[in-house]
Amino acid sequence: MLNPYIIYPIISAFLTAIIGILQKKGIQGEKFSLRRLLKSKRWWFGYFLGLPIAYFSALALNNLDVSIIVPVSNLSIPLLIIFSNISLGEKINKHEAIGIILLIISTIMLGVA
Amino acid sequence: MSFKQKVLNSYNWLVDKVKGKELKTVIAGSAIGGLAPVIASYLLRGINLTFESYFRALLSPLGIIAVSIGALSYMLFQVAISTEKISLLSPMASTITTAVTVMGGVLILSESLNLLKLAGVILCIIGIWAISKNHKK
Repeated sequence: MLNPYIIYPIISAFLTAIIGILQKKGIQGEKFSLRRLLKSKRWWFGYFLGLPIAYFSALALNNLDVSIIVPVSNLSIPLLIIFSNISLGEKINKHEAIGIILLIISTIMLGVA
Repeated sequence: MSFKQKVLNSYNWLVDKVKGKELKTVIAGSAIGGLAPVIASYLLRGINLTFESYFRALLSPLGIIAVSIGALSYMLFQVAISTEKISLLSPMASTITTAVTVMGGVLILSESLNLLKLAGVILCIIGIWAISKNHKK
């Protein structure tokens, strides 16, 4: 039977992807400025949305094997790519896609090693 | 010049340096950031962890270095994503940080090295190479 605690790394992956999009939307533009970052409500919302992730990770680590948590948490990367395509219109070419797939496999290997 | 102005000036200098070199910045920033958990692990290893001992370690010279490089790495990432695709930079940053932390653990903290770790690091390098070689903004 599926361990109910699997929901925590799944929520964390969703939150991580949403945070990336919010922070990017908060500061994107030609000229980066610290003042603009500090005044961006979207950026701060993304920042504070990250706080529950530490709690969810602790709950997951307490109840699940790390070999399950790491691959599930890495769902955040494909989710981020999908969200950034929908929300920011970012497109990736074939070579970049191959590179990203290699990076996802690499992170999973390093996480469970 | 006020402290606030000095911070803003150094930040603007950093932003100018990063412009046009976002991929390299994220690679370098994440590699440096990957050392922060290694230093933290070195500091916290073997101590009886309480709220007080945790903050004492955090405020030691090495603890301050670990926090500073973590913060620098985070800010460099923020500067880079303001003009570059987050769908590329985010996977790069998380994988490089993990790879450097794993290798730092092996080389500095004498943790064991197995085939899976080595293969993971090699795949990370190939992945970064594939992205940087054919990257189009």
